[in-house]
Amino acid sequence: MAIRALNQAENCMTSAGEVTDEALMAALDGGDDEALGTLVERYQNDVFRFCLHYLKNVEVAKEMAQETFLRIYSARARFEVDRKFKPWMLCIARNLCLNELKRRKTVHMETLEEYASSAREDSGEVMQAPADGPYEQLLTKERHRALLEMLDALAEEAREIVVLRYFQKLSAREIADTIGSTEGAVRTRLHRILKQLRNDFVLSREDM
Amino acid sequence: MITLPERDDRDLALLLDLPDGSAERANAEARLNDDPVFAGRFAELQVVASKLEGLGEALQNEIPPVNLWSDVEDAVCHLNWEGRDGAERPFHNLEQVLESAGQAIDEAMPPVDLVDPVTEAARAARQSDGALDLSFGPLAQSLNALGDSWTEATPEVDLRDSVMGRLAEKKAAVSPSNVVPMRARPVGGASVASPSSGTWMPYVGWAVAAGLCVTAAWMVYQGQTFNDPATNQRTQLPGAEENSGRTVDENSLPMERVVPHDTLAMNEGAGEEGPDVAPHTPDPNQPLTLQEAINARRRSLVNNVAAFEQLASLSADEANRLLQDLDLSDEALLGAAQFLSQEDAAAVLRAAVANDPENESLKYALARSLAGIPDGAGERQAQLEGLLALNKDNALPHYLLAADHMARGDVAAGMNALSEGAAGAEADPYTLARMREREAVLRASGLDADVARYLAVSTAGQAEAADIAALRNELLDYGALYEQQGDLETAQQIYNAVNQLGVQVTDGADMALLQQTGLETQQDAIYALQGIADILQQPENVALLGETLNILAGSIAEVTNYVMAAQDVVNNPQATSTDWQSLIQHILAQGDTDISNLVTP
Repeated sequence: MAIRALNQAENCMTSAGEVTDEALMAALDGGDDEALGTLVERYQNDVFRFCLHYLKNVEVAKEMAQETFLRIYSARARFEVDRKFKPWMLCIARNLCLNELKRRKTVHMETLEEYASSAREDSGEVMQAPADGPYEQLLTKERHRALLEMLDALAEEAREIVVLRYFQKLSAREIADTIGSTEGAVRTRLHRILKQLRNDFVLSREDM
Repeated sequence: MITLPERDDRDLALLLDLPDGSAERANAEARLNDDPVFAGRFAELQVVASKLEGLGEALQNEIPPVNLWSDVEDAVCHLNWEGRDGAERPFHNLEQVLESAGQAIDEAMPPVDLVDPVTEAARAARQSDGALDLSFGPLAQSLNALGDSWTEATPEVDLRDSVMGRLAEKKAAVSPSNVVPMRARPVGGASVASPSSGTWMPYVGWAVAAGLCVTAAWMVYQGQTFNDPATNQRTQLPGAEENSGRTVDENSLPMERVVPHDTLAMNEGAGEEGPDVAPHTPDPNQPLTLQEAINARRRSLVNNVAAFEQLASLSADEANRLLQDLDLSDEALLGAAQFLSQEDAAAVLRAAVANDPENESLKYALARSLAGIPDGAGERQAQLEGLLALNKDNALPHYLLAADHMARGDVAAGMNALSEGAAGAEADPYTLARMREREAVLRASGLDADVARYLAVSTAGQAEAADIAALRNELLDYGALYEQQGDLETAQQIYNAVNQLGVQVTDGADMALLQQTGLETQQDAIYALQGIADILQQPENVALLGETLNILAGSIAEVTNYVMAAQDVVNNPQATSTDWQSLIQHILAQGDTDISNLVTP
């Protein structure tokens, strides 16, 4: 099945006029390798950033992102078209990253804040403040720094949910599909985590 | 003594029991009054009853009241504790102990508010994502802003080319479709005739049919023409334009094998290939020489391994054309199947297995070609089970069956197959057989015999090592899945089986490359087992696994050094042609794991 043919099928199109992910997967399963190329272009940065959250290393994250797409190719026949593609893709990426972390567990892992600091040095300014006045920028920067520290202090599973929700902008349903949980459980856990973060955040501001 | 008529004793007694003023009593008395005899009796009874009641009252008045609590009451309640302080209070010490104990318990107990968290969490679970964010207003906004900043600051990547490139490599490992056009076989050189062609005749027809079908399909796909091979016309192959000027004598050659310029002449004169290798531009009209092949190998070691592997490969089209040669040897035919698409390879191998049903290597090759083919699962399972029936010592089919069962969701069958596999002696992917088949088909494609042997030996075990690595990764992924779901016991069983697979591959390896893959498989499984031991907080196991891992790492380093040393020797410019020929012959016969006696670094 060629992408061109998919473009003509109305039920394979998004509201933005693009071929849906699921239709691309069907095309890939039908032997159209270009469909994988389209998926790579569409999601390469999402997957890369997603891997970066786990691995904290740009090169390793790139490698895992590439591997994710190759695994998608290998598993194309097992993809169920009535399932959402993105959580399925991130689930593959997550498994790869967790395996990689397991392999490298003896290696010192940077915290998010450490990574942010080094990335700040590498690329100018990672945690860019919005275009407010200097005072507001400073406050935002401080708030971000405090938040990053608090995220680092969270348990791995808790941090993962926050990252998926606020960095990857996934819905509770999508997070549940990605980490193998239920929508209700994700919301409950997110609620508890946010409550804990809010308490910690208030305490840290009192200290400041 | 009152004597009552027998009949009425019960009536009277019942009448006395009826409550005063009740309807029943009034009714009974009305009936009684109608019978003066009974009325009289009743009046007497009432008198008796009245007397008895009086007697009871008199008895109660005579017996003094008993109060068993009075003594305790006097001792405890009438002491007026409120009016006393400190040590004057009775049980003063006991009171102090109880008070301090109660205080300690109060302090130790964390404040508990079960109602709010539970109801809040339940409410949160029902809320939408937006509502949840709303209830945490500024915090959710900050986290969203932090995520946005993070996304903006993270450098963008462009992975398309690298992913598609790796995909092409991956596909080429199974069925190379864009490999080298054939290099010219020596003009006038005799074709490689099969000494036992008759054995294969029954399925050569199948092979030819498959070949023709694929060739026709390929031509349609490429939009190119294919001349009748009987006229020995050259086929217009992909990339032929780039290789223009490399044409061979079209009228004299049944096959041509043109080595791409960038493969043989890559980095010419760059000096990276060693001082002994002079910059060399091969003559495309001449057959590929052994020295050219060795030079290409040397360059590939420092540059591009894939380019060298192209030399040792055929395109699917080339393989198909070879299959049309009825004189093709048995081994060459199987070698050609290594380069066909999976479906075509399966067609060829299926016929081969039918002709020689007790050939293990054939069954394994057929099962391998059926992997991933739609509707091929049942046939693959049958071939793997048939292989097990032929050779119980080879555990590899068990692991392949396990992975297939797992993929179908039949966990019980998968775990059962894994445990059977783990109990086996060795895991053999028939590397030697495949190497010899490859040598045969490369010779049949027109390469010089020495070159074909060299190329086959130099690339031996790569496909098998890749297969083992893929199987290992798939099984480890299943283990990781169970680990994430908290089923540590199942995960541990899977990891243990993978570890055993590594041991078996290492033990049964003919090639050092497979030994290395077996050791790496053990390494990965031990990493995974360490993870579980960590979760279960088993420090002894973690330490033990760590020690095992160190030993394995040492073994991997040794094997790696061995492989490199062997390659150095094979590529040693000082080695005479007799040296490497004897070495290559030895490897073709026995593998490269015991060439120590022949290799003196």
